[in-house]
Amino acid sequence: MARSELRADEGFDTFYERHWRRVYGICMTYMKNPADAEDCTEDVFVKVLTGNYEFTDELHEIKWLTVTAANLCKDRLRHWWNGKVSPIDEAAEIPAENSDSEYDDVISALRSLPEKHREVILMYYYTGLSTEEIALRLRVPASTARNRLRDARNKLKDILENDDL
Amino acid sequence: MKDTMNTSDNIIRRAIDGVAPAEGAKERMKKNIYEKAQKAQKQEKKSVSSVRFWKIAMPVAACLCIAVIGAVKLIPTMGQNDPGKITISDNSEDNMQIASPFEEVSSAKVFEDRLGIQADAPKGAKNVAYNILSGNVAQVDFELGGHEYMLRASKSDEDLSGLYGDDKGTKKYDDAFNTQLKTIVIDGKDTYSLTWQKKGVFYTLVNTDGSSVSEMMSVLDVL
Repeated sequence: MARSELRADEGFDTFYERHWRRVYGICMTYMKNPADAEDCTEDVFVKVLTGNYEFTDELHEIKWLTVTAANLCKDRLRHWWNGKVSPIDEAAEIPAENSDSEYDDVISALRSLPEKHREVILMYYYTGLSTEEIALRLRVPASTARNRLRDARNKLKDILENDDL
Repeated sequence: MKDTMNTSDNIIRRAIDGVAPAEGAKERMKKNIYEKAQKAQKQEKKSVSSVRFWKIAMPVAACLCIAVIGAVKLIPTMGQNDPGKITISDNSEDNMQIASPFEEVSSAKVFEDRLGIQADAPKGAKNVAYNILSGNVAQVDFELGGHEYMLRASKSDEDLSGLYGDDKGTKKYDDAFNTQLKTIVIDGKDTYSLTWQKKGVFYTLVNTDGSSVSEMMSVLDVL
């Protein structure tokens, strides 16, 4: 399998080209506005640029980027600053703009899920991790990971099938 | 589109990949990425050069010794996955660099048979899962009243909560079972663990998704 090249600037530019939109989309499922999503996206790629990571193939890249983006967003949301956000800042929340409005409600539904459900949905459906791999990453029993995934799917299904949305 | 969950993997992926960034976001982010990376690297160089040589000479020497010893130990294992690097493999079988400490078991009876411990979820609990952790701790995960709980039981009195944060204090409720409620602040929120002892077994009940003290005590009443 071709090894990703990240050392030369050309290599990073190519890497960024391949993945920037994907990472941005993941960050938008967590953050409430495009500015924060852009900030988190940038931080993900800064990690790539300054780190010493070796990816075996594109799927490996996607998995790493998804997990890293989710973790960065979660850390950002838990930061003390977010606890002090004033009501006026809530008005800055801008709904996700989607090139295909068919998926607007999917993004909104993902955002409305509790964090523990959103992360398993992303890990399972977007990244393709198995429930065993999810359990290892979350440090929970495999049965808990399966239960969370099942509950998350049911919640998502309820939200998406709600005609009021 | 309403039967999304039948092809939910595709629709979730398409939805996320289809999010439209603001105009100019791509180039703007790229520029910021390079600036942030440059800043991070300058900061790293600054912090290294500010340390006096004699303050790093000894640790470096110690690290070299450790590295030599480590290399000698690691040479037989070269070629295998380096646990220090991120290696997310497609193959879940060879991805298990760290074995899961959890062993799923079928019921609370297994705890009694193998560990001599009685531990079970309360009646009415949902999503009940039984695991043995590290070979000697019984763990029951369950959902009750909209919250997820973890009950651990062991014959050792070590801290079973798995919670790490700022200790806000411990309140004792009774002497008979030495029931105590410990409050730990995690990510700015109060998180509770209840501990008690019964017949030589140490129990810990933990909730991390916002259960109140009264809810925790209610669960304890029905355990």
